Amino acid sequence: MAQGSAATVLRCRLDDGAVEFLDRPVASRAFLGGRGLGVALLAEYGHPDRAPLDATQPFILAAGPLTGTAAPSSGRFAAVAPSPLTGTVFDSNAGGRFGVRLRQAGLDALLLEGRAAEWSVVVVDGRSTGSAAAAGAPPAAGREPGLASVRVIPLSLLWPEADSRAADLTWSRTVAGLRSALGPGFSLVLPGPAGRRGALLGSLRTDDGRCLGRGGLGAALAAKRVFAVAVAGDRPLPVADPDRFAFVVYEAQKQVAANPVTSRALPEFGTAVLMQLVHHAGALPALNFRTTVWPGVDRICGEAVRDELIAGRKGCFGCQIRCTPRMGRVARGCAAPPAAPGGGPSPEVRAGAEGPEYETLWAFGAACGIDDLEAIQEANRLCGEYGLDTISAGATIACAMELSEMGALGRVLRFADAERMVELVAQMGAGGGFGLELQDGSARLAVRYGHPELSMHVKGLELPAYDPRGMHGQGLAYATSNRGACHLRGNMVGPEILGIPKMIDRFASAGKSGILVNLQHLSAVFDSVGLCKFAGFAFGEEVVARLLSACRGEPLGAQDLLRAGERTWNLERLWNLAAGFSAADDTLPPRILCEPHAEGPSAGHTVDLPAMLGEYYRARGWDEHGVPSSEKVAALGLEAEAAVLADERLDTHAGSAAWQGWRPDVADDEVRGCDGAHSGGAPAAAAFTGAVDSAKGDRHLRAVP
Amino acid sequence: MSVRVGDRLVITRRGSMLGRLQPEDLIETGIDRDDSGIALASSEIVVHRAVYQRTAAQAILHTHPPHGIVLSLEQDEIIPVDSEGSYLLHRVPVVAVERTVGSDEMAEAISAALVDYKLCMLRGHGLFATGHLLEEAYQWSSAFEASARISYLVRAGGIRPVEYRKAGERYGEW
Repeated sequence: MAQGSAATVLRCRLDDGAVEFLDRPVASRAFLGGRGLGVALLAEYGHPDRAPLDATQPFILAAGPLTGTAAPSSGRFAAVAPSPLTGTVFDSNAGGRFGVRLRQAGLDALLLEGRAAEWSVVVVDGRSTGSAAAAGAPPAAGREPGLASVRVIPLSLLWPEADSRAADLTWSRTVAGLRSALGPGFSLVLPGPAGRRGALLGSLRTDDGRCLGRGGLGAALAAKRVFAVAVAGDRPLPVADPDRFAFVVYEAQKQVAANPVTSRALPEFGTAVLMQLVHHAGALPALNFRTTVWPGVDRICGEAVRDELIAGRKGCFGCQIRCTPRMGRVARGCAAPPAAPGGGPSPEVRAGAEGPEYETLWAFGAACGIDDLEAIQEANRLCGEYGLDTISAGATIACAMELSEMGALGRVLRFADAERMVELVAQMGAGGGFGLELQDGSARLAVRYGHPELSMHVKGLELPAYDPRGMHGQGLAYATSNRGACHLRGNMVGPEILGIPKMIDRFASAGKSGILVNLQHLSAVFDSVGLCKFAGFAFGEEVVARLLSACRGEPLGAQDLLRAGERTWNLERLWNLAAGFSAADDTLPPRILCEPHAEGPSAGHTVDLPAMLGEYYRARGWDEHGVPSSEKVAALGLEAEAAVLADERLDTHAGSAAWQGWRPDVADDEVRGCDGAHSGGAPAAAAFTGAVDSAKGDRHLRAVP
Repeated sequence: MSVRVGDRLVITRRGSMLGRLQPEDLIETGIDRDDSGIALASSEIVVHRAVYQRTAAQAILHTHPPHGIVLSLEQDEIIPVDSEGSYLLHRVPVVAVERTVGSDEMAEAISAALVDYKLCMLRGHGLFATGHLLEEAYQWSSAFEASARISYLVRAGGIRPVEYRKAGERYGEW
């Protein structure tokens, strides 16, 4: 990308390999890059009124303008697509080298459309020495002077040894095979067997082990018959003002080194450091969110992980935090590892030695009543090998455990059964047994077995490891997140647990919308410029603006960045509205709204969401129905995008819409309360029944026959 | 002091004792439009409104830090010499206007400065600090006055500080 100007986007049609290079100057300035650029491209080329797995839906990979620079923790990239799990706009974010290689190939984003005729690898080669396509591959398309070439190569040509069972190959086998077939210099992102099979919890993973876990984006990419995306590049990534950039980088690094979260807690414990902190606050949800008092926490907390598992640290590209623990013990299911070509641990060993994050420790641990660290590590390995979102997988198993306990499941599955949990994860990954029902998430599972209220989800995405009854601001964050229940879209862990910027009352409902809105915009900024949000514990928009300004050679202030974040957030909202979502979907599970805990620090608390939502909508400049006002749309310069999305708005009343998304069966504008006396009159539990007609719902579940 | 609540703000009553605030001392009024509360609000409301209109600030704290005011009488920018001030603040701009109480000129100058900085000194008058939370704005204000006092003592003591910070000479570029 030319410094400070247009983003370079490569648009590739998978059906015939046609490519087109787009310069996106407006999008680059207005949306920065990464997630923002991806959302802008989705709004332009996507269709909110069609099923997420429809072949006409785009799939976008985008890096940020700071990705691959010397800025701290700057290796991030985003995948953006409609989610087959939630039906919302969805982006997932990861570090590692893929985003860096994308920029080194001369690209800021790769937009894939259509569907390949057979399993194929999209090979993008931006190296100055030319591509390393396998013999017999079709000639390079889109090769213009100075720009990357792109090929859509059938897997059968690129890697003939991958036979008809290629779709079942695990991550480590796939990575080893493709690295051998492609030769050195490529970074990969790929779905696993779960995504290739169409499992809605199917995730993406890079060849260096970073996960884009949530939302079923593995299934979305696999629905296009893309086996993997491979990128190579060797271009330098200069900045406009290297001297000033170096100065600001130094000051940012000082901030990271001075902050105890980024300089001590995360490096020493990884994210597992949160386990005891959140439990102490009465916000660690155990047994499918039935309690926050759980004695097993001591066996799977940060101290346990550090003392029993961690042998060292590693980090993403350019990161001084290095929060990923390197385990001294591989997971028990890891096969005897051959060495990788050229020496070093094989992909199997690397996969087996990756540590469970806090969310994973919770999902396969406290959520399921399990305190067996070895079992959790094995479940984590299986998710990595099969390409499954650990949060949703564990939460779905927890839901199944409670269904079984109630006698609703027709099979025995008990909380605290670690061996059974591992067995189910394997089934979910490989596509067998009960795993075939679990692989599409808890919302569909709970509806199928007649108890939709037992799925802890918002907009179809399972709640992560924070109980809103112990953190009311986090509850508002879950309810209003554009991609469903997410702790990263405005993470209230900062102010409600860590005291960043300051400690606030976790149990207060009023007055939190302002800081949440700002945090939501700030998260969008970090996701869009290519920085890791963990660096955001140490510095904020003031530093990021100075980094970006020096990088691009453009005057950019902190308010410009937050405005771009707000623009991205509102565009996501407009997409979701066009896809049939409404204020009725800005809600929380009935258990969170209506069932206070009986014991622990958060005893007696529920979330007063209706009051919080009213304040939140006002803070955003939306009307009482959660719709961005025309004044807000104009102020953000989104009139054109809003008009396009309005034209493609899903007509939920037409009765012939192909895509129903995931939302409760209630009329627009209802907001659920606990007393059954909603504005629309429907009791809370009934609002979740019959929400999905299995015939209609299944229309969007599988794109791969 | 003020906080943003959606499209409105809550600001301290004109003349209230900030160390002894009562509920009736908190006046809610519009950010973009007047209502009857404007008759009771702080005389600096025009500044608060301008800042909320131009920035994402959720809270504003306005104080009269003695040492900060002294430095502002001479300097166009206040650059900390102490460690904490350097880490937290880097540089605090000083703006000067003719009418230094409740004027549109003041609102424009201060809000413009706070687009790029979390603190701004109004020459001879006082400090405006923003934050995501009121407590955060207070932290910046407190750190600023502590830093300003140190700078004043250095000058008053005739001390010629040894530069101990790498790139310290560049803080004026922040």
